[in-house]
Amino acid sequence: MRFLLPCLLATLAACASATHHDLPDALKDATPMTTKGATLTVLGLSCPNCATNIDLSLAALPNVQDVSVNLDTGLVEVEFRDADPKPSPLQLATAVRNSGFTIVAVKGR
Amino acid sequence: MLRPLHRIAPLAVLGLGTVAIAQEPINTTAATQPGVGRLVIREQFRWLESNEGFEPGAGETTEFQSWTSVFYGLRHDFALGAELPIRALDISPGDDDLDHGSPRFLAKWRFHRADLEALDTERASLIAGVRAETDDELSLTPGFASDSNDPILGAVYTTVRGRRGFNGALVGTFASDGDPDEIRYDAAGLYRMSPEVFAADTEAGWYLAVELNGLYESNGDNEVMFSPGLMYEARRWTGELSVQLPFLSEVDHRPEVDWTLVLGFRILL
Repeated sequence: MRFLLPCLLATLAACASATHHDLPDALKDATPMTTKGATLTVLGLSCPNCATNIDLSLAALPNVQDVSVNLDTGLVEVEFRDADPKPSPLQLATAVRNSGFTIVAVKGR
Repeated sequence: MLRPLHRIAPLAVLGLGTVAIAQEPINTTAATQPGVGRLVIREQFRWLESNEGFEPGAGETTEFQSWTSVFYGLRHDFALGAELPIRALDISPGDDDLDHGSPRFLAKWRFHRADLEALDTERASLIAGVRAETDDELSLTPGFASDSNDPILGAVYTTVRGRRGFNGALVGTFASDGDPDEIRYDAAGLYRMSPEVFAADTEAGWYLAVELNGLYESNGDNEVMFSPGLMYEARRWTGELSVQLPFLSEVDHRPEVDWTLVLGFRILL
């Protein structure tokens, strides 16, 4: 019994590490964006609390000035500061994925 | 003949839950977790009343509990958490008693996630952990404290469809010291009362929660509580209020709980 729980936790951690929600190729671009902002299309935003998970993750990226999440449409508007480097599509997509949601598109604007 | 509560409760859970919402219910574990590097702190106060005592012929029992839990997101699909219960017991006749229960240490792995629409999602998680050894304490809640390290294992499912949500959970705690094992089986339906439609400037929502919270013990005791509740979910915090009433009570080894009042909040950091 003493060893059961550590083994169980290790198994869970290994399972978690082995599970990849791979990003689409279009979102793996690591080149910093050159636009003033970006519009992200996100799925699974089921509650105001969920939106904050995304807000906080995106706001922590370099030169992100403001984040606005529309729960009904799944559109996340990100405003960049007028400074470089701006975040890349890969950074934006990873921040959304790490918040626990599915990102399907990043468009500069 | 079925009492009115027995007719209404399952219909209410199914009625709210058939098309679903992913907010975390008040008394049911959900397949939700904080994002990577985020912390959720939850504080829940529970007031339990029983007309019975722990000894035969004893008077009524009142218990106040505080459950503090913390969950931290390690990966997008993996979180670690800890939970510490404290309780004040008022036995009539008898002395008041203040003590802590067994801390719980938990890991949650979300092995399934299907985000279907902007709002809609389906998630399932496995939970594993331990209820850590402490002094055995009297409580109206079975397993509140244990004098052995007891494994916890369970599975939870959460789905959201627009304004409605459903959560189901099956979590077992397996006592190592001869105390009865506990299987908790819960179902919860949630309905977003307001706003009807989310917008870019939506800051909060009101939710109606209806839950059936079951507990089976390997000594044969079995109870199901019907738990209607109300939740206010803002962007960084959630307030929750719920009442638990006996729906099914086949309890011979401990005092039956007549009702429980639950008041809590959660903060996302």
